[in-house]
Amino acid sequence: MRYSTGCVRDYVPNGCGGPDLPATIPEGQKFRLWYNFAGHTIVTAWENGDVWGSDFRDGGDNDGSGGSDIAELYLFAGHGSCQNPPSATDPDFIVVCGNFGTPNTVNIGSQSRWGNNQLNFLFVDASCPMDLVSLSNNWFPVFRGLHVATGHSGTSSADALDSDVRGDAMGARTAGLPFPLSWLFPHQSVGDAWMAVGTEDVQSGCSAVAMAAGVDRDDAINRRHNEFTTSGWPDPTPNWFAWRWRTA
Amino acid sequence: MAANNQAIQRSIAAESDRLVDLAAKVAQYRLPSGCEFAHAKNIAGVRYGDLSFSSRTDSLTVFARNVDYGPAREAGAYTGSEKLLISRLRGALRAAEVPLKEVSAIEVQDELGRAAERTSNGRYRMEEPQLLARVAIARRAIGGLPVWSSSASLGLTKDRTVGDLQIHWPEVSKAVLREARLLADLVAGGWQPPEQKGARPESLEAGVVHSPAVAFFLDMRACVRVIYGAEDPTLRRKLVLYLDRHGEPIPVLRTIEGPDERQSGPRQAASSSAD
Repeated sequence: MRYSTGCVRDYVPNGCGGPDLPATIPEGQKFRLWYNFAGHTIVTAWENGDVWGSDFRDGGDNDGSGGSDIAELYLFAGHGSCQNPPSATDPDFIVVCGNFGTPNTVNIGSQSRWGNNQLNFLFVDASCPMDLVSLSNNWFPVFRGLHVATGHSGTSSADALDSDVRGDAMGARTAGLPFPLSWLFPHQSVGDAWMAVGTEDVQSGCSAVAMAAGVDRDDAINRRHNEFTTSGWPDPTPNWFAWRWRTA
Repeated sequence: MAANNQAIQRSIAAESDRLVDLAAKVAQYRLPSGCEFAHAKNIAGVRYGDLSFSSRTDSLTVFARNVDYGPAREAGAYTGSEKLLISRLRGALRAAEVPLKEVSAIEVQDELGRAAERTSNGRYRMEEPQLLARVAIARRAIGGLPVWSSSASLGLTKDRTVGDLQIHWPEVSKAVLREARLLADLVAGGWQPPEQKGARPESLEAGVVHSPAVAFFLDMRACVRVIYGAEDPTLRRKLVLYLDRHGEPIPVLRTIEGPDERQSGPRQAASSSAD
């Protein structure tokens, strides 16, 4: 599998307000080490100002230098932005601090479309931008071949903490380690892995969310529970959506 | 050489038998003696059919799994009483020889699911949420000091057998505990965390962190964990610093090592499609 990471620690030095998020850099490193160990192929692994807002907007996400839709899997670690508390019509945002490809804030529901190029799995470790109350506005439209996406739903007092634990563990549990580590350590589907690790280092009330699309109800539910990054399943026609969540 | 091989075979057989016994004690898995055994890096395990049981060689860390466990799988997932889940997890911890006085809390997290159909007019028809599974999770503290990275979790199949059990409860050395107590005293005495642009300290607490369950290393550190709230309430993922007594960040805890292949910037756009 071909995969990419985009991790943003530096918000303050590049004039984007703040705070900075120091754990995002080791989070991406550890994720890559697990995926490399499992034999997957890295496409891009940009950090800080080299992660651009355009990487997450439809069109710009095809940029061969680092768009999020040019590999089969993409991990983003950085800030997200949401209303507090969110309502059904509020947008969700990915927030970067790029030296190109601005604006730095990406409105997921209106600007992002994934899977119309390569992306099958999207791991967003940016806290809120998968608010349960607004999934139909912000996440249903983005599935254009995307199989499974993971993220968080919460508020400013039920937030994800800056931590390398979730990305590290998602790498370890989803990459498909060489035999016999493949069964000595848990090898999990994307949904199972995120339910297990997405509630680590989060505040009480924050939810880990995993969402899948499918051609019909059974397909969407099956992918929500049983699709591994290594399954090799074809792109789904997004007629149905199925999601699961666990709240800390 | 032949004598060495025989000794290795005897050791492996003994370890396999020990794991089969431990699987029965901790997870009630009845695996036959002589079932498949494997070891690699810092972990060894046994498996038979759908059931596997493995244990790290450098830590009190075990994984027990039924591959058919889960809401959309044959063995299903238990969604019944909290009391049963908590009791079963407590029993597993006791059987694994976890000191129960270190269990600071056991909570049950519900996993819910929902589905929606895109209708012909471009709208969506939403189904009602369903309870998919319940998972008991234990947290750890030693003498009131939280060990944030330690935990245990248990999900049962619909037949109430162990579906997914994970215990990660490594021994904490006296030196690490002594340092954590010193840090707790510093915090109680008014120790001030460093200022961070765009955020204000929201909480600070002394405790212990260590490498996670799935890892090839076991690093452990006492630290003060400082959680900062962003001044912009719409900005999420809170800054957290793990600091030593000097106010310096502790080293990154290792899980896996190797060459990190990645580009060095500055990045150049490959096409004109970027904004």
